[in-house]
Amino acid sequence: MTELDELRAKWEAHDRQLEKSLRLNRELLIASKLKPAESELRRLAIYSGLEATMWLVIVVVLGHFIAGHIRMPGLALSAVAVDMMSIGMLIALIRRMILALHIDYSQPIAAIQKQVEGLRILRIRTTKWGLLSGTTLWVPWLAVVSRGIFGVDIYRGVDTTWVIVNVLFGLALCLAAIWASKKYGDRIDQSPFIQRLMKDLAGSNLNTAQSFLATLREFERE
Amino acid sequence: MTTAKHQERFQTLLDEHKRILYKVCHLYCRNRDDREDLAQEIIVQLWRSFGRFDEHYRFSTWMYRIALNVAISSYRRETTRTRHVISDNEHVFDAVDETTSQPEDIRLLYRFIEKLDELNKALVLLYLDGKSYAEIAGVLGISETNVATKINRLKNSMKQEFSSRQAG
Repeated sequence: MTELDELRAKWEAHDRQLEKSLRLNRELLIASKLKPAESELRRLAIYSGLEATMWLVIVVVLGHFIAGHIRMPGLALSAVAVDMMSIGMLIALIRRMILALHIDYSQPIAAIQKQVEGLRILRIRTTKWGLLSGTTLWVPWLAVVSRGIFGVDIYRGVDTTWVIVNVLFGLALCLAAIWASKKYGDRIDQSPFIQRLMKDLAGSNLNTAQSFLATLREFERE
Repeated sequence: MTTAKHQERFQTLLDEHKRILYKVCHLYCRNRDDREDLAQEIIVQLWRSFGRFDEHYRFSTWMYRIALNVAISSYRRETTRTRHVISDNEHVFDAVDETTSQPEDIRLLYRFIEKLDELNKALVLLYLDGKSYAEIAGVLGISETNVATKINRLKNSMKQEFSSRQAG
């Protein structure tokens, strides 16, 4: 008999003892206690829906902006760039919502964990590319918003060099953010949200998720 | 089934299988607060899925799948968990004297399992709970031969671990 089999018998005895010594707090299982959790999940779904609607409105407004400024190449191209980013964000968000809705925890572990990890990878990539493209495209965003809301064409007062320098500045800011996240991401422990954001940027969350997917594949192999 | 009866049925089944909840939480969390959070998270997920539970299947297998899936996902989450059902003064389990209820062997076993990855933890738990290879394969979503190979591997590594402990 192996050690694990010997312990299996003791485990059964431990199990019987647990049966006697454990008392489940049935008060917690009444509907009034479970409902807040249900409504919290519903709230999360509503937030995701609102976020998707917001990006959809942005995409439509930008489309309208492009059509109205087709004869002003600087503004039209800026709007095309930020529109492409917004469409990307909208698609990623809808994909995440669909994936999340299809996760059924009563299905086998290997399959569900792959779905959960896939969803996590999508979230990490969306956050990373959203932040990086938003920073890189800050000049086109500013140009479109200034023109759309205040009627000001910022490209009129500046030359091409100014635009190029500021786009490059955005790129440099991205690289600096990635570098800082890699260097200081682990040391920031005040806010879990900031910590997660920095690990997303640094790529460490993505590496962990990918390595777990590799572990899952290995686990499935005989 | 009316909502009240549905709720009653859920409570009864959960009460009958509370050990699963306890053991999963104990294996995947180190401290009591985390265990409480995980237990709540599992209960909420069980309740949400209960409407789809097919009474022709074994409740324990269905519960294991949900509890282990929630535990593994929760274990792997990048941010700290948030409490979402009950206040700090309430606990999912009452009257559990953890120090006296665990014999030395079981404590050593928990320590051995603690070192395993999330997936192998689930495998050992199911094996120790007397599940057949077919049932384990069904819960984990791998083949029966794969289950047998992994169990043998775990038996060997456990033997080594225990003999090195005795030698030490």
